[in-house]
Amino acid sequence: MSGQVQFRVRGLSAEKLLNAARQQGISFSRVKREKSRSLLMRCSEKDYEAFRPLAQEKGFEISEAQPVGILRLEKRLAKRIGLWAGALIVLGLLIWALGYVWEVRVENAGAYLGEVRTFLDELGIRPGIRRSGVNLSDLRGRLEWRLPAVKWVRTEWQGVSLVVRLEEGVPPPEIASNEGTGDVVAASDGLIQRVTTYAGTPAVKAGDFVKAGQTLIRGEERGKDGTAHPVRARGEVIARQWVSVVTRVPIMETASEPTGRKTVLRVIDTPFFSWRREEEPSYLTYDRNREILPLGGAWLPVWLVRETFAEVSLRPRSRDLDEAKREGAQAAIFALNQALNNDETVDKWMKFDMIEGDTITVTATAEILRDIGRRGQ
Amino acid sequence: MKISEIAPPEVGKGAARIILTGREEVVIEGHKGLFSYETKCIRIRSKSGLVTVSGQDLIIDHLGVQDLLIHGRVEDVAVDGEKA
Repeated sequence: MSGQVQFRVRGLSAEKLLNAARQQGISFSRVKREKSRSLLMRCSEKDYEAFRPLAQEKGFEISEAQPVGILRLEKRLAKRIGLWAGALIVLGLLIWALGYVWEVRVENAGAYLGEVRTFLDELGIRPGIRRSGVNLSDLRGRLEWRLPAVKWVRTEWQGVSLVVRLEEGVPPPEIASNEGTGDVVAASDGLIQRVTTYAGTPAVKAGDFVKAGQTLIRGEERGKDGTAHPVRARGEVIARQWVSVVTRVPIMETASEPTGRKTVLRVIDTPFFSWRREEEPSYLTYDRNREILPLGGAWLPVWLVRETFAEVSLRPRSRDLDEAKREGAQAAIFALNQALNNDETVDKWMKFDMIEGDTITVTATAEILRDIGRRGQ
Repeated sequence: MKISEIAPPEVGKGAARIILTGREEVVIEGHKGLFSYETKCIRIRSKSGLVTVSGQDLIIDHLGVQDLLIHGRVEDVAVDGEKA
């Protein structure tokens, strides 16, 4: 199929020319009157070759044909070899780059994030490896084996990113049942504050001190005739309890002081090799600062890594005592709040002790009210 | 097989077929050539007579050997001075 060209015809009674062309089987499109003696029109490239001598023979002025539509694009592109070559190179680079892992993303891992990252590192799964070297189902199986508490693991590709998503298992909730018989027993030690019985017979009263496992509500009730019959005991037994957490804060710390010696390393890094000119310094202790500068933009995985090694000397020094206490108190309060689990708190207090002159022990205690009843076996 | 067996009767007789779609498009099948073309009036020869299409911003979207397609704001179509 030949492409369309656009041209202009000037002269008197161009209609006659079009009719003569029509008799030769030439078709036109987008015929538009511009001026009284000028028509703008289109036809196929092949028809233009036949029409042009006809128009000139009949004394009409005909302009050069300008390609339009696809033909115009084709002709423009045909002239730009560099553009084609560039496009092919970019396409090749793109296909090559898509064969590599550019990012490893771990989602919803919670407390397992560090473990998953370490495990992936052990398996050699990191940005820069070949995509074909990663078997998703095998990786999923290995992660599920490594993390038995995780309910399921999903591994998938999202473009050039490897995504590992975890879903932690949730223990099934305890379903309350009125069927069967049994006592309500103490889940932990406590000083009974109040007992509300829904079924059964209370075995303790406010002010009693109970030990874990002791019966709180017996699973039996007496009828009007005095005979006992078994029931499933139910009720709320609120006890006063004390929860303590202990944190330790050292009052000695190691301070690093720069000696003034410094070495800068520059490394060209790619997924396949690293190239460096300088060797790492032989400092015993040093601070290391790493800057990564992408050289290849979004398409080429080449980075310039600039590492600065600053030698330091280490020496122990005492911390400010008040600051250490504050730090210990904050950590203790945080840990205590984690342990309380939304229980009603009556009182809280803290105690500071010094152990052997180099550690502060902070004990945070909370007095709480908690339902300690649980179903006995 | 004769053309009268597969086509409408007017086609066999060589009569022009004029199709007006809305007020934007006129198709003339079986025309005999362009008589005159202005943006407000296009005259086409046909076996039935001179077909006149009047309107605004008229362009000939296709001018083929047998058929012709006009686009624009069509106000009137007449054959030999009589409204089609």
